[in-house]
Amino acid sequence: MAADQSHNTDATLSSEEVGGLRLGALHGLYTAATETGHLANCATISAEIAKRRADNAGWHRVASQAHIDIGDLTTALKFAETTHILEPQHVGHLTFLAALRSRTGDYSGAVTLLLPLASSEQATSGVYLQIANAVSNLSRPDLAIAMIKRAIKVDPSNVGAGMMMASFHARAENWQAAIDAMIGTEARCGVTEQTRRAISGYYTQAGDLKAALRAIDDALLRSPGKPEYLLHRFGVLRRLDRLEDALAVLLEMLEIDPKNLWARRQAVSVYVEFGTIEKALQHGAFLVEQEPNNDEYLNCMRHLLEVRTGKKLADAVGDLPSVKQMGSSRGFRQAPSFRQQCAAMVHVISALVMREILVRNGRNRLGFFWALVEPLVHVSVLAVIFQFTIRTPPPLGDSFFYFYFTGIAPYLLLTRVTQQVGHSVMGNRSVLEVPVITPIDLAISKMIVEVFTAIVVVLIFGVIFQSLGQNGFPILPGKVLAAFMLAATFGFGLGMIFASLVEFGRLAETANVILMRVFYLTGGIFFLPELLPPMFREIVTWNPFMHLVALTREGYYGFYNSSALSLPYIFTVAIVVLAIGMTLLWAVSPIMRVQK
Amino acid sequence: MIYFRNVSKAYRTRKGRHLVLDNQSFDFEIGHNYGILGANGAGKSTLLRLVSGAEPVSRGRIERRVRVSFPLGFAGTFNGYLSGRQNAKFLARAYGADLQKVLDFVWDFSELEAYFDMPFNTYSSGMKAKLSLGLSLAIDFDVYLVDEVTEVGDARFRQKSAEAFRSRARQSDIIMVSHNPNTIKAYCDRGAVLNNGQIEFYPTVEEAMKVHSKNMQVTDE
Repeated sequence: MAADQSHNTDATLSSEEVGGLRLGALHGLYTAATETGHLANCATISAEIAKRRADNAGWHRVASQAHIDIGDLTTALKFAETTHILEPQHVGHLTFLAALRSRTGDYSGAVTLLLPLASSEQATSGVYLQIANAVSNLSRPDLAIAMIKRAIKVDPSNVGAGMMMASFHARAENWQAAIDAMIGTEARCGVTEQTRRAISGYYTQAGDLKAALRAIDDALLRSPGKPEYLLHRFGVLRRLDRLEDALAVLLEMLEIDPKNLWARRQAVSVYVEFGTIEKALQHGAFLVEQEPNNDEYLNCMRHLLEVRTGKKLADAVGDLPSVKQMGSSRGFRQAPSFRQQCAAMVHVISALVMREILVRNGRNRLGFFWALVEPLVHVSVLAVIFQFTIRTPPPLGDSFFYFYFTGIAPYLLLTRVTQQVGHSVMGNRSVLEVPVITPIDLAISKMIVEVFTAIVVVLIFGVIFQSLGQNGFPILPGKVLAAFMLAATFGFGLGMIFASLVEFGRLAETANVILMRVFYLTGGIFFLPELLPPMFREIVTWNPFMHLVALTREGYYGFYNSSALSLPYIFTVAIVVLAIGMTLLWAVSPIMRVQK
Repeated sequence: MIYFRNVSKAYRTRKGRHLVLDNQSFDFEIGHNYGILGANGAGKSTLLRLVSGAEPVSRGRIERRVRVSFPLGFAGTFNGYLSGRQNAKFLARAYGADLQKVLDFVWDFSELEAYFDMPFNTYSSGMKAKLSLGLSLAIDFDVYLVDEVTEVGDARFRQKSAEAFRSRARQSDIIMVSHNPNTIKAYCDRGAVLNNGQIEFYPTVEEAMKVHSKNMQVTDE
């Protein structure tokens, strides 16, 4: 019989087998099963005993626990329910059932059971914590916190209550409150490794890494080498940028457990940050060996190998210092002569001119076309208006169109040069990043492009007039050429002045526009100064632009001899303005290079 | 040779005047590659711009007896409406270089193919970098200025640019700013440390690094 029983204790019993046995034998078998730790038999036998002794709450509780142990929560719940029905006043059974309901997800069931108890004298801190746990799962964190507070009140030394409180604050990402809760817990219940670990976590989240490090070091003093603590310590050190200490932690972890793949993966990253690729490769190889199908490890290895070839590249140029030590083959350069400097400037300006033409046509295919059409439209509109409003013939010749053209041509040259040169630095600051290019190069290149455009426009106009049977070209070309050269010089000087002033404020641009308006209205585009009353004539002759128009018309009409024209005056003004412009631009040039 | 004579350089920031160089006189000698070390914000890049001439001095004088490049790989001057070829022509003309030689080199080096004749603003950032690197190497400078070595393209292209750089560097010199000590060690034979408006030169990169790391520790504490 004894041999038979020992045989039975090893084998797993079915409920049919057990059903045939007497109660006494069952008790014996149960004791044997608990002693050998045979959980399945414990459950089957205790269930059979509970079935036979249907009014015994104790055996139902035992059966319930046994089923929890084998993971059969549904059956366990059934037995627990019965214990509660059999002995409704038993607090132990009640809390046991409530915990089980919570575990199976029936939180409201658990709360219904526990709430009456909460208001009674028998409520322990455990009961409150159970309620807190259940209601928190019912999305009532406020109630949960109230319950935990009661638990702490009932039993201030309950560490679990304090930690739960902190974790509730943490769930709401209220890290400071969590830290305060933990400090309170430590004050009431004393410091343990768990409290230190928890507080370190909250400090990390709150961003106080130094406090976090102190706390986790305390925890590790109490429990040296605990992997979870080491892992956390590594994280803190890493965030503190103390890579060497972090690496030491990882190596300690790997010494304790070489198969700690997480630690090894982190070690690879840290070695990469140190730049010790070979070490990183060693650890990476171990990872791939352990888990050959892990994509992350494979990618990591691939990347490392690429980095190593990249380092080889650096090695490829690595002999440069020694090459340099052997001495350079290049001789000293003399300071550039004036001719070389001029040649360099010509290079730069020609490059800028080419670029300017390309950019204008690149941005707008019709760039050059507009340069032509603009004066045409301008002159036509003026001519049409005056031809029909004023019945008298124009002051010179018989064509309003021709008369206005001879006024507009020098005006356009002057304004375009002034505007373009005035905007040359502001609009091309990026080009100044090339050290060989100076602001004066920019100004000159703009001026060249504008003069070139103006000459082409004037020639095309001449061809148009000529084909219409009128005299399109100046009778005295020398005077027109002189007028245009003076206009270009004057505009270049003005442009440089505005380009310099605009560095100190946009007001310069407005001043430029106003000045050009004054030139336009009082310059004699629409009238001859000679025909003005003497008082107005006196004022108008101060306008340098008027002299340019007069000189242009002398050239185009041939017979016209302007008494208002003073060549010395306009020549002096142009030269003086040019000198001021160049001086200003030279003085302001350094500021123009400063990045704004 | 590049001579700095009593050069001061300061610029205004929101926090007040920032001093990069305080009345410093020094030379960059021909035949040596210089690596410049300094803390973040010490003004290494500004110093490089001073050397190139893209930035004016506040006081003092800089004399260049060499043809100094614009910072390597710099693409800021390129005009977006112009093609790579037109931009390359512009810089080649401005530096008075042989136009055809430069264009051939850039064509071979940058591997832009059809994009070489497309507007610059259609380029990817990698293509922009390739064009500007090719252009810097195509023009024959005495001194190349390098503000952080930028890695462009795949391994093969990087190998190619390293080789091109090495063949250039036999005759030309480099003045380099980098955060990576390994890069400086690989390229330079002399070191300089920029700290609080003072610049110190050292006969080897190692010595400069030692001083630099000591400086960094002092500022940490």
